[in-house]
Amino acid sequence: MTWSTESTCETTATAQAVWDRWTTASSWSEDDASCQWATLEEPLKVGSKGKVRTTGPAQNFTFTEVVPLKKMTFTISLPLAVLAFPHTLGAGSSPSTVRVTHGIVITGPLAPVFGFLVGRKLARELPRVVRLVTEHAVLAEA
Amino acid sequence: MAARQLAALGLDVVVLEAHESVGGRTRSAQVAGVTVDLGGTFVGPTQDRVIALAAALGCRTHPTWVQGKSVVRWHGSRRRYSGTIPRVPVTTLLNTERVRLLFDRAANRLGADGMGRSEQDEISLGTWLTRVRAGQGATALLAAVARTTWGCEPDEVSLLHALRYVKGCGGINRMLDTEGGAQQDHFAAGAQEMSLRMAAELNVYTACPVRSVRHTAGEDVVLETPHGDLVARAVVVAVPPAMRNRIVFDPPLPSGYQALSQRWPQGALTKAYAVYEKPFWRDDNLSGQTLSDDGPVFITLDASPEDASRGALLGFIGGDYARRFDALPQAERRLQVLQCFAELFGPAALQPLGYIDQRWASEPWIGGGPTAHPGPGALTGYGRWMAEPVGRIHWAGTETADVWSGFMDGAVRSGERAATEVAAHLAVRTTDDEMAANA
Repeated sequence: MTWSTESTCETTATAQAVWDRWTTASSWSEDDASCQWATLEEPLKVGSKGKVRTTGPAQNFTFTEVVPLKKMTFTISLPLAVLAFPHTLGAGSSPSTVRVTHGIVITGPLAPVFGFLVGRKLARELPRVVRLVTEHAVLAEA
Repeated sequence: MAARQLAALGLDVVVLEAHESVGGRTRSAQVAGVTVDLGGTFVGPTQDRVIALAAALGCRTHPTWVQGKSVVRWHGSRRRYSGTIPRVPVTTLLNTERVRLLFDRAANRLGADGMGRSEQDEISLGTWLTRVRAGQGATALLAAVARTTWGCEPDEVSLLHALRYVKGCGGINRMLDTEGGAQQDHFAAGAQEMSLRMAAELNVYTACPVRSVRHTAGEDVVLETPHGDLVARAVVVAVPPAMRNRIVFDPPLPSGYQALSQRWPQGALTKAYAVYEKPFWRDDNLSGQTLSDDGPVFITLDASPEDASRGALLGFIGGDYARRFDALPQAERRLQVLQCFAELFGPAALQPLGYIDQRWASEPWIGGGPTAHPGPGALTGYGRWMAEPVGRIHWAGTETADVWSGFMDGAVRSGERAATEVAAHLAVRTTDDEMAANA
């Protein structure tokens, strides 16, 4: 069973600036109000691990997909479910823009339950998170 | 306004304007052939003084477009609704109405001088919302009100100031409504036209900031400008309270006046317009009015010309949203606004003929908009110095008005009040001088 949602916005930030924002775990708390802190414990590659704290205890996450300047996904294991955060970068409507998409995908037998309990709240904040990521990426290049 | 009234009394009046054009927080621009108001825009019932001034100057208004359904974007979903009550959860609506009634009741209980209990100035609007258990939905709605009204978040404005402000408008509904409220009409040729027409009748120097004011008791006032000094029998300072500190007063103003300037910060409100071939949203039976619980654009209105020869959408960006938005490059700001418009009105909103935004917090001589947001303690501590003259120095500007403060009507009223003060002051002086000469 799968529960999913996503939010997309277009930005004048370069793909590199967005990618840098995505892959600097220490800055996640600036883009996501629900994130208290996050750390990446090893160089970024598929299988890299880190820790993130939102509400409650810190959780381990693992990168499952890393394609520089294109996409990255990390996952958090839940009881009988996996919470994945796919991030994708695509071409924008003009040569000077890129499309940035953040998703939330919950899979597993308890996906509908976690979708209701966790996913809805995360989904509500998702547009704000994507916007802050792109704003900070733009400002980093200014 | 003060200059116009004093000139009408036969006095020799000079207007020194720091900006390149007159109008203060009214400024009009042309975008793809459409006149748009970058600052003060609307007028409505009981704003009698600005309406009278507009009529006297021949500045025509027309009703703001309200036909069709409005849109609310709430918790990520977009819904249409008719009338003035947005389609948000019933519990949010009931709670918001309860909070509105509590707020209006407290505002109505303020004294005739607009002052209330000192403890109302000890807390912010945000703290009060928590105390009355406004809840997440009602708080989000009232945060949108704070961002539009004062250009700040609810935690940044004193409850007492908010109550006093709303009372001066005749209640929350009068302040927020389009039909029957403060957004009912707007100017066909832009609101700045009033100032331009007044300036044409007056002796005005633009791009002429007053750097210092030398004032000695019983003597004329000397104003230092980049173009030389000017000697006056009296002066009316019509800048936002926070900007008073940009002028060097010699001798310095009494400490209460300096503290007032420090504690009366201007808000952060940015207005963005996109102009289209036609008001395409009307074909979809949409009024152009929207409310959103997320930004950067959280309120929109249809600002198209009366003949609908073009379509114009106006978006408001205020408070924390404006502080972040204002820091972005123009191309990113444009993209963000158009994406917000597209989420509300469809992909056609991504292809405007023209776009413009006005970041009032970036204005060097104004410092923010639409008005000030004094925090807790400022009003009871320093409010008394807002309009009280210092010798021959008088104060005007919308923040000094008791009625419709923060609006164009308040600005006009403040000018009329300051002119009356100056005329009385000069009449007394003239009488004194004549008596001294005859003695």
